[in-house]
Amino acid sequence: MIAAAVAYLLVVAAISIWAWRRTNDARDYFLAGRKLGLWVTGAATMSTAFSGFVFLGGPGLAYTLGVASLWIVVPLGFTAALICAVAGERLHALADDGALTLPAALRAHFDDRGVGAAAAGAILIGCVGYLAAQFLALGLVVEAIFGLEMLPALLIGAAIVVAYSIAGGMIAGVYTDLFQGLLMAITAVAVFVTAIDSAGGWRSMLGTIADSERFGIDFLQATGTIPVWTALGFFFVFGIGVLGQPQMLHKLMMLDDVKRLKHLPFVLGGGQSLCILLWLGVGLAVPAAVASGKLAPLDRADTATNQFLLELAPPILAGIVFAGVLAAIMSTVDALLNIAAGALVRDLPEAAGNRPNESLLAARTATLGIAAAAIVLALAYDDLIALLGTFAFSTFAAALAPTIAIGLNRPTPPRAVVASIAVGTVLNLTLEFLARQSFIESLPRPPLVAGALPGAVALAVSFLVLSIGSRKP
Amino acid sequence: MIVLIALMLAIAISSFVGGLPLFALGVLLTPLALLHVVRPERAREIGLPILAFGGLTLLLAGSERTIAGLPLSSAVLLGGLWLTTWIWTSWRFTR
Repeated sequence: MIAAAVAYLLVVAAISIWAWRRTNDARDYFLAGRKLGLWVTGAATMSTAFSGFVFLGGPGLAYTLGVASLWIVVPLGFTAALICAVAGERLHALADDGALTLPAALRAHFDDRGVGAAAAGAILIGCVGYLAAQFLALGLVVEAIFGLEMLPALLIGAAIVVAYSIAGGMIAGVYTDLFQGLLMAITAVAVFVTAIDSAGGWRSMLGTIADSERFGIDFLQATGTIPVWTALGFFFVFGIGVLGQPQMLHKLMMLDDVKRLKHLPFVLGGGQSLCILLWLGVGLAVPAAVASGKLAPLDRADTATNQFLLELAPPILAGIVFAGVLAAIMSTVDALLNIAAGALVRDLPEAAGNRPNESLLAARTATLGIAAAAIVLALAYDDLIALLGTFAFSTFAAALAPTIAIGLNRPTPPRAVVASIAVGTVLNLTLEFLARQSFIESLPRPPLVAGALPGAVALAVSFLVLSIGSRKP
Repeated sequence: MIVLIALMLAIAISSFVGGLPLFALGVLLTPLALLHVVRPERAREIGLPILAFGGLTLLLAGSERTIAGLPLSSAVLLGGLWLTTWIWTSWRFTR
């Protein structure tokens, strides 16, 4: 198991060193030279979008909620086409005109520095939350592979991924993403097959769950364990909110030829569909194993994948899959670090009327600072990884999805865009905080499930602000 | 655009004060309305499968009938809203 993980890390290190030698300027660091073909873009977008959130948080959430947890991922049946239809061509054209980052593209489109500043600020906040979820997942995997305590495991894992992100920038990011995406898809399929087999087949697995007192038939119903509100909240945030995910939108800007966009939904959605098999397989096999007494009930739901690999999978497969899970996490971390660094050293200075900092040293220093902030948040957080990931996803969604959907496609005044981004970001942060906090009892608690509905409400209100603001240009 | 504004209002208000059918309708109609506003040529081919399979999943919620051991609502969620929608939208997108 350790050998497979070390072999994986050596391959990533080799790609990073190769990329480091090819990274000569900011265009290379932030947009990988804009030379990506269909398959590299598809695999890189998929592996960036899927992370520890999907590979560890997903099965953990499935162990807790059952099939209802899949409302988060079923939107990927249409999100790849949606993102290409609504944002692909325009963002690619803005990159043709010289935009290196998403905030720069928005600033150029609206010809307004305030839009760039608001987008960069929202991206920084969302990235720190998303990175914290990844570092938590990374800590769990390193803990399981090397038998370390959570704190040193998290710090060692973070140190490795931050090092290769700093060294190779986006060139390292996309080419490690390609390798990592292939590894993720292969391991997800292998895990799905093994998981079903470990439970005695599909029907036997579902029968064991349905007949058990602990889980029951509700565990297998689409809305059996959660209110329909929460299920639809997940669906709305992840279905429409995909339009606000900078880590995915940024990849569209790197495509070498805009004509490739029409085939991207098939490649991207296909890769994502394969990876979801891990969520589905482990998410059902572990409850079946617990119901049949093969596994003890989990103390921490987020360890579902680790428990499956350590207790139910063959050791060789466990080693390869742990490498695949590491790949899922690290591919997302490098993209988010790159995007957040871009916001800090390029977009915010430009919004303030200064020249963007073109130095690679500044970009690398910013990357290190953002990683440190995310590690602090990860150490302070105490809940399911999937819910932290959902919060971060909905921060991007509420801040940017309306701007990408409506703003890029219809005449929209910049002030409405800034208002939408600001309202979406602040409302999501406020509602999530109020739904979770227990420090001040006198503060109101909204009737919303943390992690799902605050994001849905913030996204809807952000859309409203932009839509109403667009009516009087 | 007016329909989109109304749907967003319905989602935001119903989240706080109740009204599940309104919330469900808002969520499922949003992709269709959004695409109709910004990419009318893509509205039906992406929006309709979402509305059809999403609605069917909700209608079948709680049904005790199963397909291959999976309750009907979950079978539609996975087979329809996920896989069929992906294949359909990807194929339509290449045209």
